[in-house]
Amino acid sequence: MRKKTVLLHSSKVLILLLASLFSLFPFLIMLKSSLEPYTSIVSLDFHMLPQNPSLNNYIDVCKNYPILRWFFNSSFVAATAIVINMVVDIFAAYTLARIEYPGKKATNTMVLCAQIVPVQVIVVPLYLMMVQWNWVDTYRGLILPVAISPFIIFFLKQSFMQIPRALDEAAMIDGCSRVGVLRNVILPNSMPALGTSVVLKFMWIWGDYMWPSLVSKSTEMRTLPVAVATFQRAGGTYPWELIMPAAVLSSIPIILLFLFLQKYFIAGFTDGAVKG
Amino acid sequence: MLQMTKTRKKDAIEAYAMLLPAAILLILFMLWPMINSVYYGLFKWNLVGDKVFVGLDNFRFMFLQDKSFQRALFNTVGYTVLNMLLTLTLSLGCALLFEKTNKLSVAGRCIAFIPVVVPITVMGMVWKMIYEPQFGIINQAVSALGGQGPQWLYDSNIALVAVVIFNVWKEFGLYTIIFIGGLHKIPKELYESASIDGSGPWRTFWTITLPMLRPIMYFATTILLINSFKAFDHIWVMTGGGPGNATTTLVTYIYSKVFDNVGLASAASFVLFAIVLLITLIKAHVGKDGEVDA
Repeated sequence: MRKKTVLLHSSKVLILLLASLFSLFPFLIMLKSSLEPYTSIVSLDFHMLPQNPSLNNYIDVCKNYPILRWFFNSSFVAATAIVINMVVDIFAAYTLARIEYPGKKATNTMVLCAQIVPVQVIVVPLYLMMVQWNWVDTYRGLILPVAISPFIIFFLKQSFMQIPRALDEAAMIDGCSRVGVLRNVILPNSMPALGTSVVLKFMWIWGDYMWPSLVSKSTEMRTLPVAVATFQRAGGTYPWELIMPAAVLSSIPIILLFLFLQKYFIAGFTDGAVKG
Repeated sequence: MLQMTKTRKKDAIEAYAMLLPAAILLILFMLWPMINSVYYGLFKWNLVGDKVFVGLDNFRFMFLQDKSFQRALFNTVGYTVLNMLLTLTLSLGCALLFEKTNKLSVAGRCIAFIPVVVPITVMGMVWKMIYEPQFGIINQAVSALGGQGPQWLYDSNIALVAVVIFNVWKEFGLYTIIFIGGLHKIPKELYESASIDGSGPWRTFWTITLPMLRPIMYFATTILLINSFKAFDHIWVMTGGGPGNATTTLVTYIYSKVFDNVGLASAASFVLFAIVLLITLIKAHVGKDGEVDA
């Protein structure tokens, strides 16, 4: 019996290791290739450790492309969109969760409908709108269309509704206004949900491709993921020694964020996303 | 009485004021484009010239004549079926494996989740290198074992499968987490009574775990279904819809038509919307019968 448990346990560990290897292997390849010259990347004898490792690729990619500008674009777009998004979504969620007003059902339905509509369905007219407004190749074009999230409105509304109404009423008797209640009662009591919303939104915007690829025309206005996908040499070959360091730079921030704030990421998908 | 109507009125004014910013953004950037997308679908238009009203001609053309649209639909369905099959199996397996709250399982969950958070197009580029027929890792491993690997993304018979495998790698951690959430909701007593009745792990899985996972299963399946129909970013970056039309999906079709045929792109968008709406409605309907708690 004892022996069987040990065997079962070690086989579990083995499967776990294999599964982890499956998930991590592409990252190892990416890191390794970012440190070695092109000839080693395309060489036909496989090696797990980088040959002649150096940071030359990182220096080259910074010299040849406006990597820092793209990094700034990605960060700036994500940060601004999140700030607008949180302010707008918190007010909307609070209203839907707590205040009775005529037309509440209609607004609820509107948010629900918007939640169903995939970006992929509306990009064409949205892009045309940007062309008409001269918003192509501008930060407002990159930011404002993604500065609202019906999913987060619903997610926050759900979390606000779990806070006992008695707390609101007590604060109101003490003379708090609506906004005061929101600031002193609702927000402090829903920190995990707020953290999750910020983290999810950051992940979505940082990794977004379709919208920024349409609305950014010039090289300078691209975001990192869009830019990385455009690296190509004349003749159709790929400069892997430049793509890999750029790929490392675009994935490290979000991986670090995830490692530090995992519980918010994971809570978003177990509680929030499951409740839809 | 007067007091009450007064507070009511004040409530309403405050409510509208607080909803206003969200309403403006929602209407401007989501609902209005949605309506426009239906409208543009009825025109022939290439951005520079005049819009010409053609009624349902775009839809007629796509479904009856346009080979690339038919191929896109076919590919999207194939992509969806394969993607769902592989993702659900792998993530359910990993969920059962990582369900415990010991350090090892938590680490496993975390690692499986890392691919979910990184930008999909960036990892698509990395996998494009991994798939390279000559020096790519996979084919080097195959030839080290004495075999001959396929051309992967350059082989029109395999490209779609290769793209699906990448997507499974990228997303399975998400569904693993969702399933673990579901597993944790199953009452422990059920397992205890099953083991008293002498039920083995295999039987317990089929008679308790799987039936109790039903609500989560519905949820995960619909999300996965919708996401598969919307597949675009990684496909565009890895193959651009090629070779030929081998990996053209609904959304790559839409994207490639944005600049030269707005009407057709909008009509195809509407088809995608109809599919997503249908899945959502079915989910809402079936979900009600299947929900155990909630």
